[in-house]
Amino acid sequence: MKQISDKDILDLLENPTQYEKGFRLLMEKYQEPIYWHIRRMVKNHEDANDIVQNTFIKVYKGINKFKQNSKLYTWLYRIATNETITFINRNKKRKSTSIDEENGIENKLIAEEYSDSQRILEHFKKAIEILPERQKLVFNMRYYDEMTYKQISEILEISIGSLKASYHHAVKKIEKYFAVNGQQ
Amino acid sequence: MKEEIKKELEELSPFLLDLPKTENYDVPFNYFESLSDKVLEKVPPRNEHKISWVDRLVNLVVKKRIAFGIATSIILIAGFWSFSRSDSHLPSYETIANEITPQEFKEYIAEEIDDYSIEVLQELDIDFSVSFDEIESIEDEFLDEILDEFEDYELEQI
Repeated sequence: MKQISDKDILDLLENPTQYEKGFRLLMEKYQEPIYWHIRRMVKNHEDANDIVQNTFIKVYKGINKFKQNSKLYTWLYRIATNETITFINRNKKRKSTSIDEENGIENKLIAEEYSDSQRILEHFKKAIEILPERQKLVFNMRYYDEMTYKQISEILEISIGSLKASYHHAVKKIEKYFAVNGQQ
Repeated sequence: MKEEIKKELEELSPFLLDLPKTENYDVPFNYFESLSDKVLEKVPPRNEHKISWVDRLVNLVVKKRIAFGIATSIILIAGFWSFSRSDSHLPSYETIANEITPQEFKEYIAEEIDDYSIEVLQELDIDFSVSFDEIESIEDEFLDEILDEFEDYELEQI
């Protein structure tokens, strides 16, 4: 089935009688990539679900303010990214368990409970999780969402040079994590 | 994976390129099928968004101003009408005085006598003498009450 274009979605959203239909089509097209973009940044589904719902509520309320000089997906990803960063920053203050302690427990569980392939995936997930926020964000957008540096730059409003540096650092850190944990 | 991204990763870390690229997270069954319904349940119907809160506030202020303006205008017009009407249609004091007979005047003073002090009545120099025929009956108690209100010297003066 051919996917509906952003222009068709925006045309429907401009018509008050077609607004809900347009919004449902927008969600149908973007809910999964936006969800995964958020989910890779936060640990569990419940948090990702809250953030993705807040993101689309903001989209629903603010679509009239969307200037069509940027692309629709850029605008959606920007809202989702801001919502996620706000959530992470708010939760950082609440966290009582130290990161080292948490990592130690999780690594032990990974070693004991998983098969080899699962263990590699869990380590990969863990290696990404412990990256600094910006490197994690850039790595996910480049590696999983397969965005160009130009697209990431438009969403995060960061220079392409800085994004390349973040991605390279992230890749090297993940590689190092595997080397230290004996998987390479 | 896009060729450009694959090439970049190959140069940076061949190890990472060989890793399976799967989402290692669980999502509840049918989650994406019901997500748009959940979002739409949490937002008010679209027509309520047509008027922003700023517009509503402006409308409210403008409406209040208009209502205040209308009320003020009505009060001013009613006041002006009432004032001009009282000036032009009410008879003057001289006209009223000429139309009242001395007898009517005496009766009025007699009815309202409690509101006048003795000094004022003396200044008016009105003859309050009445014939005994006019007085049908005066109760003794009523007469005592009236006499009690006067001091002795006041009775002597009368």
